[in-house]
Amino acid sequence: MPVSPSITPGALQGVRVIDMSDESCVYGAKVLADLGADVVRIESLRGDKMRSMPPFDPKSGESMFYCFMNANKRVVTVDLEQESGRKLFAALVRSADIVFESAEPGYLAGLGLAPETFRQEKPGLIWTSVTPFGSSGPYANWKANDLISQAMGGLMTLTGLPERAPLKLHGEQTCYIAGLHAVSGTLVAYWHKVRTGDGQFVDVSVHECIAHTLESAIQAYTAEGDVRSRQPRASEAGVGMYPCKDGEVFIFATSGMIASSWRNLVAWLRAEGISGADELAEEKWTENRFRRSAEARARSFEIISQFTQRFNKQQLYAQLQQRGILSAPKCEIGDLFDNTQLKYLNWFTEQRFDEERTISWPGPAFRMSETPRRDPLPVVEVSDPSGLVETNTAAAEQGKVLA
Amino acid sequence: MSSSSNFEKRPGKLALEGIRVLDFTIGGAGPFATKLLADNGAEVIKVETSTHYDFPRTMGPYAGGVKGVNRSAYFTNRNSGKRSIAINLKKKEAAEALKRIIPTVDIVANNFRAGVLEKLGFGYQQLAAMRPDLIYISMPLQGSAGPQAEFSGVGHTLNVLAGIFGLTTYEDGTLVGPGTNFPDHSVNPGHAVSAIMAALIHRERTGLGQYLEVSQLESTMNLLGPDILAYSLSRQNPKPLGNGSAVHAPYGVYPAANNEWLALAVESDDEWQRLASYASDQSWAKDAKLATREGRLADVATLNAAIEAWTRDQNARELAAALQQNGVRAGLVQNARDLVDLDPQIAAREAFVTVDHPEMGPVVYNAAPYKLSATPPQIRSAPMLGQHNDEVFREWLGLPDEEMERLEKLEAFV
Repeated sequence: MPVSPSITPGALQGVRVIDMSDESCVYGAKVLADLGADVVRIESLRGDKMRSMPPFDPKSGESMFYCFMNANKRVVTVDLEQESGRKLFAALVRSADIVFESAEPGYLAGLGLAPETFRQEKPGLIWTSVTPFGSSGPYANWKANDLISQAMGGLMTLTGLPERAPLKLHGEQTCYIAGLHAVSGTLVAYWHKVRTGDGQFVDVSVHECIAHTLESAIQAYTAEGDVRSRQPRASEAGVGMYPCKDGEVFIFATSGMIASSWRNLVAWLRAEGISGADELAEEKWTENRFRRSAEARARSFEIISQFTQRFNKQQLYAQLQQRGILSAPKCEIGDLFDNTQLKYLNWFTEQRFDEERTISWPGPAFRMSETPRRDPLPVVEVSDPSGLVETNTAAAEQGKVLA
Repeated sequence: MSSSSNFEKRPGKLALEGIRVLDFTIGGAGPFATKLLADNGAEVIKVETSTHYDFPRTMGPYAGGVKGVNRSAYFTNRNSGKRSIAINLKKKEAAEALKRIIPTVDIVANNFRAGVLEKLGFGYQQLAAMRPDLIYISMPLQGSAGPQAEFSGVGHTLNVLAGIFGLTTYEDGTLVGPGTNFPDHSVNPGHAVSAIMAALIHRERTGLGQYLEVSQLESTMNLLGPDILAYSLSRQNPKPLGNGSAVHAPYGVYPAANNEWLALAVESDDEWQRLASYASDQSWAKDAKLATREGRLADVATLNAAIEAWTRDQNARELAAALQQNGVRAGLVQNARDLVDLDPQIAAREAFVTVDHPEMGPVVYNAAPYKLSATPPQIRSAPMLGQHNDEVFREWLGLPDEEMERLEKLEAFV
């Protein structure tokens, strides 16, 4: 039993995953590693494109995207253009429970490494293929990336100002959206394998993952014929960023779904004797059409902002919350490190990075009482791959002990 | 009311058949998570009351634009394949009746603030005493303990708090925030399903259940993982890039004919050559300085202006297709009409499916965005409010008629 008693095994302890996924979905392979799976990442001889993806450590030039996405994995270089590389790939796949890859449809089959061949040989294998448009259909061989996927999948048209260009979300969000749907499909398939012994092919389309993330835009069109697009910034009185002494606080005091926020805000302003606050209690401020007018937006901003400017943002946030007014302080990345709640939760994990500096890892995305997330460790590069194929026997034994 | 009509057709075996979920979640992120389980065959029982039903039931869009608790397409898309029971758990007898189901339940899900379900007797400790290997998932906004655990919020405020909003800016720094609260309808449910499936697999291997928690703040902040690592080393906030890239050009959206937009991205010198040979009549295509990445990044504004002059009067859909034929990453900025009516890929893969609803008639749903070869997920109708009371209490729990009548008299089923 190789597991030290001080280390709680992860939920996927002993499950071997071969990861050949790209930046469109690699977050999924990271989640599997966080869950305790033994993830072996395959890197081509040309190097991993992710190593040159921003953001970078300005000092070492190291990609923090690569660092984050490949924590707790082992990486091995495999040259699929060479016979020896293809043999190694085949051996690794045979050692695995799950393959998680994003090669262009048909590419692996062209090298004699078709998923179907491996699945026939090993019927319990889960093979997850994540590609920009899925493995079939007229766009199956189209190329994409985060920008193209957000554009074609319908997310971009919803973000930005009406008078300007559609806007992409920051920071490779496609990778998280598609990666997590791919994990859902993979783990549902793995569950089925645990119950029945049968593996399967999981065919994930990034395009469909994005088109699944449009709130109700698809249904607004199919049910009511309404084609949603970009909205003016402050679309309603009481909603938007309000200035403070040291930044801004977002207030979400609508009169729609959760009307109490608006009523509580107006009551507070009146109790404080803010000039113009009585006006906001008039009947017309409950009418949606008026609230959305430029006049109402400008007037309410004038009244509310003269009050919010008296506070610093953390004070105002606390005061608004005490009074049941939906709100949040505007945060840049640096502000997240000052978040009181995250400090209480001990969320960031500090590690030594180099001789002078520590690095702060984000805490768990979710918590499991019996099988906590594995602590993040940087990727380990394996120079002699022969051991990888052999060591999985031990991992499999470990899995059996657990079972 | 006929109760089981939605569930009679079962052409193939679904992976989560036999898994039973008691679902207290409301709104966006919670119901989207349990919906993914239902689409894979889990028996998801949605607990509502007619006074406190799941609030998206009265959020549009509505079938035919007509409002009603059984008419919202916002609701149906998040609740496909579930059963709904209407029950007033504040009545002791009602709570006792529902608790009879706990020994047969694999998973309990909720996204209330800490303490709400405990008061009704449905907290983790209380239910785990009845079913020791229970998997219980909570999805509080900011965790179940801590100085701000009681703070309230919605998707909009959470995105601001987690930093996602502040990073959604144009390249000139103009702040707009995401046009939709995307963590609510993809990432937070995705983390929840990952945890649930891992816990099910762990239970199968060890016999142990567990308590799971998806704090929506912690979940959403992982979407900025690389930026958090980078900031901790550099103490620099990311510079606004809008649609652009720090390492590639051209990279962005370009205006086209008919108020449409073309997304175009060149990620290597080789891809630039392919773009240049397609646009060989353009002067920029012959500019030797632009043949290298460094050359293209040297003056992105001028390069973008030149590309814009080329795309401005072209049909974006046709140009995107032509560029793709030439190995260039390009695509139309699509809206819902483009996706539903004009996208041949969506059509070929049946990514949207239409399912009949007892009151709404045909309703369009997003299918699961993955295909499983052996156990394909299946979209079944979302429930009417309280549609499955009889099935759950009479058929599954075997409550005799007199007991049902007694509960009805007590107004337990409202």
